[in-house]
Amino acid sequence: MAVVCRVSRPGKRVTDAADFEQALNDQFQGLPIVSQGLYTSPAGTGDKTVTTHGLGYFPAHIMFIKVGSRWEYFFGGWVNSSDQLQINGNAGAQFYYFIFAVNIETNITQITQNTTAGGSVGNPTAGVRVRHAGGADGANKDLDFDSKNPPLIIHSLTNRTYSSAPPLDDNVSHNLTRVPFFLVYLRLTSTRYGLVSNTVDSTVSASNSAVFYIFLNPPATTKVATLIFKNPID
Amino acid sequence: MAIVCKITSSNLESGKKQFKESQDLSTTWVVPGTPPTGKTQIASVSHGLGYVPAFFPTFQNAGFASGRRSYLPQQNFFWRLSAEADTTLIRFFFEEFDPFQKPSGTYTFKVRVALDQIE
Repeated sequence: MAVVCRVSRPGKRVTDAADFEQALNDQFQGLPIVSQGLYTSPAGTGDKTVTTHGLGYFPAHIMFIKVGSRWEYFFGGWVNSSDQLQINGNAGAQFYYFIFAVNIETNITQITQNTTAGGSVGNPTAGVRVRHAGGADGANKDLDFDSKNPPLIIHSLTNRTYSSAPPLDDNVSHNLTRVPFFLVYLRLTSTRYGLVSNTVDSTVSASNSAVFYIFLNPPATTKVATLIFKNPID
Repeated sequence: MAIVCKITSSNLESGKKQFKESQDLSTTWVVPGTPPTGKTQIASVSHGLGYVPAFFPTFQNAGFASGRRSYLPQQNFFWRLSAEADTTLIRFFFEEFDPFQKPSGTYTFKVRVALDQIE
């Protein structure tokens, strides 16, 4: 199907803008927020439910944890088969979470239109903005969509199942020619998926041709969902 | 409120807020011959938003994953590299656990700052 709607990022010419230079393209999928919020972990140990989303699938999600007076990107949470986002312990700690309308157990095939940067134009005086119901006109962060602050755009979502002996060492290739923003989720148990980063047990990284992951001690049978975005981080 | 604007692929639909980008910032840390002990701020960048944004701190170092880019925090048995955000700055930290092994070379930090507020 031909592209029927396309909006470029500020300063980029829409006619030849690369995929990552676009703010809106009806062939690409963005990252809609289902819910977001602040959570304070109550006293005590054990698993704690941050929120119940009701989506009926394992959604993409991210979390942040408050460290003193500042915030850090957090990789210790998970979503489970009871539609919950959970953490363990961390009594008294504050978290901020985002849950997205993306089922990480589905596959999204990469659609590539153009990886070559397009021409530049002057600063725009116009763009596309969509206000959220109840949001203020002037609050950019509260808009549903703003071509001057474009959304993350999904390039691909790849699910793979593993049952071989550890370590689990694999990669998911892409054709973006840039190092992309990415999220890797590991199935921790048959009912839980967690976002993973770099610890003594795991390594995730990206190059201009693939996203790589190594797990030294993964579950005996597990799945990995790799979400790659068109937005570069190089 | 009824939907007043909708394009397929969930790209643009009033009522569904998209996660939005704001800016990319970068800085470097040249690891000194004797890295700091304890938890030490090693770099910072200003985002200027006036509130705490969602952010995605990344790093690249020749000694890690063949120089590929990955996320902070990064922790091994010997040290931890992390990034923390407040209403004005993204600060990068090094924390030593065991002086037996030390980092080396240059770390290039890049942080993708979202427009979305987390506090």
